[in-house]
Amino acid sequence: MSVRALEAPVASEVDPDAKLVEAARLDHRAFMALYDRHVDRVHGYVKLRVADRDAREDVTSKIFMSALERIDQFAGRGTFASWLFQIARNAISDVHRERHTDELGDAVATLSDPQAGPEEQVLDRDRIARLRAHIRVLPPDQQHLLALRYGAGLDYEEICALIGGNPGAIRVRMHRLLESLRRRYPDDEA
Amino acid sequence: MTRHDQQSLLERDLIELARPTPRDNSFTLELRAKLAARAGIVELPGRSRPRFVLRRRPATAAAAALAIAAAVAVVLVGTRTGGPEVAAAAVIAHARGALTPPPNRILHVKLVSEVDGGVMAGGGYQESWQLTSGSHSARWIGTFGGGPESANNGETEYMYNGKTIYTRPNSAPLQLSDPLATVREELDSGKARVVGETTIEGASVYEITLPYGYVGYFETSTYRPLFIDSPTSGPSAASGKLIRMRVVTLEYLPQTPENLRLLSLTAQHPDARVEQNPAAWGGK
Repeated sequence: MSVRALEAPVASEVDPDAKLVEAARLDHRAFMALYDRHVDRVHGYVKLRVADRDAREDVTSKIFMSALERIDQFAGRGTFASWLFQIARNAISDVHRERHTDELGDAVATLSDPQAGPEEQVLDRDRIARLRAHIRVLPPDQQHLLALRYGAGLDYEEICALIGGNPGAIRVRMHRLLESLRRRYPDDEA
Repeated sequence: MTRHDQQSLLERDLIELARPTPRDNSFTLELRAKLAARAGIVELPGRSRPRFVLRRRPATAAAAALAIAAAVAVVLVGTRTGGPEVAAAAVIAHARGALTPPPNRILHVKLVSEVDGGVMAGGGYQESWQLTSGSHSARWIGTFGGGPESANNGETEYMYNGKTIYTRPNSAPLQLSDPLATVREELDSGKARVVGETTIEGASVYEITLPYGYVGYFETSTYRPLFIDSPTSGPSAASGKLIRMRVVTLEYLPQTPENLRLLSLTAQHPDARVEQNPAAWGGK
């Protein structure tokens, strides 16, 4: 995926959020409807990319605070969702830069978290730590793609609307990405 | 074969990793309240607030009286016979009047944010005292929206960390930062509608729908707002939850020497060390 594609999302899509965005520009209180519509997907996206719970809550807060603050600057090129996930991507890049986390650091952070969330209780801690570590060492554009699919829960058509390209090509890229991860994730039974 | 059957263990783990937990739901509710505050339903004190403030008009008692008269007059002319619409317009006008700070007073507001009847996790409350005219000196307390206890008298800005009061020169003229100004503007928007009367926690209130799904409840005897409910529709964690802003206090205090001390951080914390060096602001 090219950076150019991410920075210039497809503009031809009809934005389902267009009316809400317009309302939020006139009155920021209308932004709450946009929050309700997107928060679970955005936070899921962040959860897949940031291991530390406090850090990901900070990131999600920054994403929506930034979106609210900059809603007047949203130019309408591409959809509101694509703009929001671009903010999310940038925010995560910032936090990784600031925290200087690396593969081992993230894995250790997960393993040593005394207040591990239910996902850590459901999944084997060691396996989850390794999974996070594998995700962490993927190139950022692959992390972005993976988190859009499995964190935000977007289908391939929705991902295409965000980052451009066509569903078939995205599907192929995702397949290769999963194969790459699977080779380093030997617990996989499939 | 279902989609789930087709998923590999890797894919299932990825999905599980992102699945919302109760902790996530609590977090997104708290964030929702903070965003609502920034978006205008309750404005934040401090330097960052003006970036999010809606357009505001000067508010005076005279303007409020005119607005009430105008609102009633317009409806009277429109309906000739008056009736329910006139009554509704009068209710809205009176509610707006109750939210209009008179000059030369101290506006005292305390708000508490609640979810399903309980105080929001993390302690969502805000309390402020502010001169309604002149310098607009103010003091703010509260975890709602974050930040330490602070004050500003128009010349100097103060911040208290529990031990030390830090000071630095104020950088911009103060304006009245009325936490309920947005509700007043919504009542004045022409989109507010009186639903009827009801009783909440033993109080007789008018239920008034406001723009964007907010609902205000105003005491029938004083027209003072008691509760502002947020819209909770949509696929978020807020769905089905009652997110309510409780107006614990709304009063316009006279400027007596005792009341003026409420504006001063040093008067409220006489034992605190006062740091006069602006470079040390915030303990730096």
